[in-house]
Amino acid sequence: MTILFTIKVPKEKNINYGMPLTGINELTVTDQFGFKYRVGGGSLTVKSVNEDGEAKCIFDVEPIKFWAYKLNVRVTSLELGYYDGKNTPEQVKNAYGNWNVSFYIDRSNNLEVNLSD
Amino acid sequence: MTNFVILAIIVILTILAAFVYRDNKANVFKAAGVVITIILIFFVSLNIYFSNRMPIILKDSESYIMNVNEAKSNKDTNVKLKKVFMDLNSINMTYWVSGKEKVVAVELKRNPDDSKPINKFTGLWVGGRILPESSFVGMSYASDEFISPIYAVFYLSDGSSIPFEIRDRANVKDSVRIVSINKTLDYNGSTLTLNKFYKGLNYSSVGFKANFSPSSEIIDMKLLVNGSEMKEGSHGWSGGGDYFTGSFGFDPVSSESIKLKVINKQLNRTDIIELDMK
Repeated sequence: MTILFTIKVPKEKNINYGMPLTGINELTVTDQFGFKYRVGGGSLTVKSVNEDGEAKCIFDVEPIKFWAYKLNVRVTSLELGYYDGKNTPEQVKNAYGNWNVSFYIDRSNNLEVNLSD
Repeated sequence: MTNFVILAIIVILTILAAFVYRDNKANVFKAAGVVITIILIFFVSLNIYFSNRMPIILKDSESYIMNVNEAKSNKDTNVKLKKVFMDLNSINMTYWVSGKEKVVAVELKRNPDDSKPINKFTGLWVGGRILPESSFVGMSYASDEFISPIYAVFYLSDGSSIPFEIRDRANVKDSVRIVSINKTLDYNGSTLTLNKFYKGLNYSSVGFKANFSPSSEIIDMKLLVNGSEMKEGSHGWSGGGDYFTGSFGFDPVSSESIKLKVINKQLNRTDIIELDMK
């Protein structure tokens, strides 16, 4: 399963990009029972960045269980830094907090695919 | 040791409580209540016991554990730093968190205002609303001197932070040492430079630089302490191409007379380097 997300960091001196850390516990995906899903490969892929510095990224999660109807994505650590578009981003500092998103899953499409297979 | 005493008292009290309830011919609910309390107390005390334990190898070094017991709060969240074990280039801490927010990360800093930490421990989620949750954090860092005071900054899930200043009150500084070696071993063009010997309370290690990957199939390093050999415990390096840096790790040594024995398995060559501990 793939989750698409966008991230935008408030403009600050020397800081124009932010990315969640992807250790075992920094970025967690849990369902309504608190069952934890592994984030595949521990990597985030940046798809595009627009003029405002808003980045569109994806990350992979192991297949969700049949009982899951609601997912909660929690990020506790963000890496902030400066990216000039050429070299590798320069890490400035980390920001910590609790950025939390919960959403429901519409499984009707999945079901159709499974049946036709 | 005090943990054992507390644990023993708790166990005795729970057994006594169970006997009192049995003599009163308690009903089912009361019995269930007792069982649940015992289980709760058991797990809480287990948690307290294990989270207060420091991973210390040498028995003598346990006297360097500092009982800090310093509590600080931020809005509705309390963080209590319990015990601290400072070592050369590493620090171990036990702490309690209670209140609304959780601790999500701990950073080590030279100065409280530094934006870049010496090391960080992220991905934590420690804290309890009613009962405090205790936890342990251990971090090492790279430095050529013993750092005191050092600052441990606890970051909370609401974005705020609680800094603790940690001073070496146990006089660790006089017991740890960094000894310069600066010896280059030439293996037919492949060189291994031993830079420094780190004599910590809970470890000892030899820092190196090499132009080849010094895996354990090629290089075998031993410590000669008072005539007996000490095998290598861990072995880590990073780099690539013809530049590698890393360290050979050993258990802690309390003796002052230490020699290094470096064996090159491919060339069957053994070098013995005496350390000038002063």
